[in-house]
Amino acid sequence: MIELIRCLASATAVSGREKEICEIIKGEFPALFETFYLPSGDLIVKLPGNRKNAKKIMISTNIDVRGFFVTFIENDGKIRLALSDSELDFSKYIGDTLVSNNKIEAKLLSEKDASPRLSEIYAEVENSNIDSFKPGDVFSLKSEITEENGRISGLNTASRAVIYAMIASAKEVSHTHDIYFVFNSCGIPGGRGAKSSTYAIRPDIAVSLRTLESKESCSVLLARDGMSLSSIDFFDKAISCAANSSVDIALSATTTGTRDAWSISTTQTGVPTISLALPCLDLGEKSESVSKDTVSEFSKIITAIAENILN
Amino acid sequence: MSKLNGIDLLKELCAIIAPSSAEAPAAEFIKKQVADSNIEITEDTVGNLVAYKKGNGKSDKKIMISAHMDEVGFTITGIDDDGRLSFSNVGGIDPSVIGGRAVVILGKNGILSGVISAIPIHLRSLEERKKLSPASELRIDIGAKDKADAKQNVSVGDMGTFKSEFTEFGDGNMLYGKAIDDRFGCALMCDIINETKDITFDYDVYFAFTTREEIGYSGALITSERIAPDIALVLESTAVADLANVPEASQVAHLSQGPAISFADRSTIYGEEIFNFILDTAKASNIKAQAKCFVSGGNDAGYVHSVGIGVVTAAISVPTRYLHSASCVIAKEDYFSTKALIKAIIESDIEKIVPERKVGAI
Repeated sequence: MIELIRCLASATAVSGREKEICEIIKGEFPALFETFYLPSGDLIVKLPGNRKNAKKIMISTNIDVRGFFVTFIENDGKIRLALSDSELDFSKYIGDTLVSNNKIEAKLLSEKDASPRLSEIYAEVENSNIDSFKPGDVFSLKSEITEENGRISGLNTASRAVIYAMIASAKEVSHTHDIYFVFNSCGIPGGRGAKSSTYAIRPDIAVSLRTLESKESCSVLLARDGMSLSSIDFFDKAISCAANSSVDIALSATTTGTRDAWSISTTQTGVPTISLALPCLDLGEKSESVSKDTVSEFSKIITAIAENILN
Repeated sequence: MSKLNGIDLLKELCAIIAPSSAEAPAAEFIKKQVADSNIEITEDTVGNLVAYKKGNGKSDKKIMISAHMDEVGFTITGIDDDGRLSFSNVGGIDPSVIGGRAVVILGKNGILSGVISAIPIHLRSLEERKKLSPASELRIDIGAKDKADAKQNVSVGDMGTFKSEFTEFGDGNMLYGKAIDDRFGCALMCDIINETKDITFDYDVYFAFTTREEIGYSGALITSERIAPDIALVLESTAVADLANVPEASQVAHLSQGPAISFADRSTIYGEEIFNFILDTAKASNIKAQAKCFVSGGNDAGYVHSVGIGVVTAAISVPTRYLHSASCVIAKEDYFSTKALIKAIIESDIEKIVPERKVGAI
């Protein structure tokens, strides 16, 4: 588990620049899985059902993380930056290590000690590397993934653990219906990828997977996810799926997070959608952590829902 | 009407009064300019105009090239007792470029001239003088004697734009005028349609002249939903800040350096492949082009890129000083660089960067 999460966390996945992480995910699936990309950058893994008139179940999560775009390289070597998402609080990462899409490390620095503006921060790399950069390149915040006392910690651990759980589930699940595991691009800046995938697949039911700041030790089924309200029928069925599989599940609601569930549920004529969250602590911080047991249970509930929610 | 091209065409297009939702005069002009050019023209209910050029069948990909016909302007919201008109802006207009400006209004009996008036400076406190007046505190003076006089020519809801003479200046390479955003793109597309009328491309090409960009991109949304292109090239104008007191890193782009290619703006994160492909194509063709070095603004691409299963989209913008003002400044040579680049892209193997279309087969 930790090896794959570490690998996922080290891949470039800044919104709109998810190709590297997609290729890692794709590489996890043997040739018998049908995988393809959409123009939006989404990666879809299809498991065809073996029953007549199979319906379509879409299980998706966004794979992007917040980061920086290179906007300008000054003569003195300062690399000026823009945010991939306006909610990135860059000030708390001053002094931290960044990693570029071409795997060059940099320091995030500021010309001002307190409350710098975006125009006052920059990335600094070794002089020999400066010619490797151009506007449009990206930097991610370096994530150091560690394991201690049954918990995996590090920036973006939780969202990478959701991806891990999806991959694990896809390898285990028996599929009488068509099941689509969807790894969405650009979830953070508005749920663009989720909309494109939904349009392409036109599922009968969608399960939107996400992270949630929570002290729960089991997966959390969300009655409300941002602007999206879970489909009542499928919400109840998901609870039954968990009970029948002897997997604990907590119920909650939140107004925070990406807009994936809303994008899915409102595409075309609408899609019944439920949201399932992996609980974590210190979401968005370098100390962000998830329980290994909870990640395993999260994978099991994904499998249980995929196998049974349409039965 | 004789057909125009290049800067002469741009000049005539910029002279048309066509704020958002009142683009019909621009559309009529464009239809005449591209007539008899081996294209099929369609219009929809919100005024979008699409010129379709069928490909030779070698590729099943569809390219949409788009530019919006509308311009920023004003809509009349009331008439005061003294005959002056209250108004609100149509599109984003910097308050600093409004006061004292000459405007034209599409009145019920024809086009009216007016001037935007403000409270005289000697009647404003020192504190008030430091602030810019928002549109709600300004009025348009059309020379009416009183409310009744004004009402004979103007109604609430009438629209207007800046009044400005399209002018060449400096060394002859510089131009200024209103509505360069985005008659620039419209003129360019007309030119390309006319210059390639005897050529058949590998791709089906849709030249979309869209409406209502300045008030929320709705024309482009409708057009791209209908066309469902594989690739979209959104022709735009981008604000630059290439001024001495602006740090170089914040200057966005530079005039005379070719079109600015965006990797991201406030409405879109553009694909890495198409961003690199366009800059590489420009370099290989010896055409000037530059990366837009600042994340700002938004445009029709915000909707276009997210239509259907997603559209591989690029924004290609002419660097423009004083955008959304009566005197937008561009470099003439950027017009020709942009045109050459668009042609080079259409003639390239750009389809290689588009994933195989799977919709319906999934």
